[in-house]
Amino acid sequence: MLSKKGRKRIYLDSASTSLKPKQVVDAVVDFYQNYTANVHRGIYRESEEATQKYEGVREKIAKFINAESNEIIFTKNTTEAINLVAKTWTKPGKILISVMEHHSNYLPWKELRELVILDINDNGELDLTGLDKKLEGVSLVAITHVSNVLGTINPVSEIVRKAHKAGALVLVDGAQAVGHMKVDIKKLGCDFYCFSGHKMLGPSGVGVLWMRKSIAESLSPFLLGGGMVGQDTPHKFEAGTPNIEGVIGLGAAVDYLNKLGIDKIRQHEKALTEYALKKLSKIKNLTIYGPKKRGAILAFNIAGIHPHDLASFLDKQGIAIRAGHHCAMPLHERLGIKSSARVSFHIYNTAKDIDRLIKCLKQI
Amino acid sequence: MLKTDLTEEIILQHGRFSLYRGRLKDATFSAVMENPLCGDSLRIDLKIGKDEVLDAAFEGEGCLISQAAASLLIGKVKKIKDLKKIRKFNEKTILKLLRVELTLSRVQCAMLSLEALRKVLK
Repeated sequence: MLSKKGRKRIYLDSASTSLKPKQVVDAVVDFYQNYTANVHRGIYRESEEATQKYEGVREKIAKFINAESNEIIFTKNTTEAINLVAKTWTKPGKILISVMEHHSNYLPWKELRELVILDINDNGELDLTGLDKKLEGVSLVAITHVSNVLGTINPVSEIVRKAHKAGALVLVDGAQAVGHMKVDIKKLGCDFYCFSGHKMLGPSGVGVLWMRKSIAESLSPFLLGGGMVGQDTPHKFEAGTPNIEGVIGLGAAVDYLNKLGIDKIRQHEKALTEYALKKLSKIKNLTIYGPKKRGAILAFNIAGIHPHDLASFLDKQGIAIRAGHHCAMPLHERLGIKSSARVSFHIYNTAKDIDRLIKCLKQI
Repeated sequence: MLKTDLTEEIILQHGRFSLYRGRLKDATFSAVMENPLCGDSLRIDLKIGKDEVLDAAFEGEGCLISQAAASLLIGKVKKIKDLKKIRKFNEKTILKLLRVELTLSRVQCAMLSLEALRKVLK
């Protein structure tokens, strides 16, 4: 990425949104230039092509996370996917979440339900002691796959096993996992899985809700309008003209990720994260939050320097990082801090980016 | 220490070691303002006489920009004193005091002090 002056910018905020490869941009432009039409509507060539491509992405996504294509519901983003479940899945009971949830997996539940909140240990991992007891009276566990602050990769399968044994279903916020590591919903065993296109090299404005078909069939539609009358899932949850170009762009992103190989992406990001952890931990007065084994996300603070000031300083040096509470206020409260600085990576980042970050941090 | 030019040095001084930081024992009005986006907070105490500010102080926790803006603003309030004039302070007043180009998100940091002042004058 180049700045307006042509100097190379270093982007370390992929947990917020990822950069988009040319293939994704081209796919969106191709739709705009060559076959713009609504889906599921017109009896003409362009509309049929748009419908075919749109539905084709549903299949691609399904394969990508090892699901069935009629279980893939397109939403606006992870937030909308979670809200869809919160508003339509009404089985009585408490909701168990964790203290590390993003507001998108906290506020929709807080508004409607009584919450049970799982704590973390000093290492920044979920504290699962006494989980069986905490599951009493709980009808749904809503948990993040990868923390957007700590980077912690949560033991979803283990939680699912215990939750199912207690009669509770499990929803997973996969916004920070999909596109970074292999996600196999059958292996995870969960009942709902939500993620966003824009964090996995795709366009913004498109997200995915995977929901077990038997559950989807039992739910009422979330929004009412065109294209859903008399329809079964997934179309009954996609009222109105969807984000067609967004979905098509997301399809191109999945192709791109598949071509690179998701395991190779994970290896690359893992190596980068380990390198960054090693380098950052050597900087004086710098505290890193979260465990050693983690996704490609690192939040930290430097004593005496507000994260906003740090981000402004780095911005001037050509480095983009995130500063604030990252929509995870309960977690920051738990950590006893108001905000933190955060760096996060994707496939386009290299060790050189980290070296330059470290060089700048050493000037402070 | 962050490398800075002279203007930034002033901000550093005001943000970190302001003379106006503290509480007024005999404050007439006080108000606390928080920036929900980052959690930064600011408290402004004013001692007010007839049509004029007799004393002012601030206390807060936040980034350099929010704290420096508060310090510079309190300094100006103490200098101007006239309540009528102080009520007319606006975004431009703050940006002029800071004398440094701010990105859109950092403008919000700077305006926390103005919002707190407006709240205390209500």
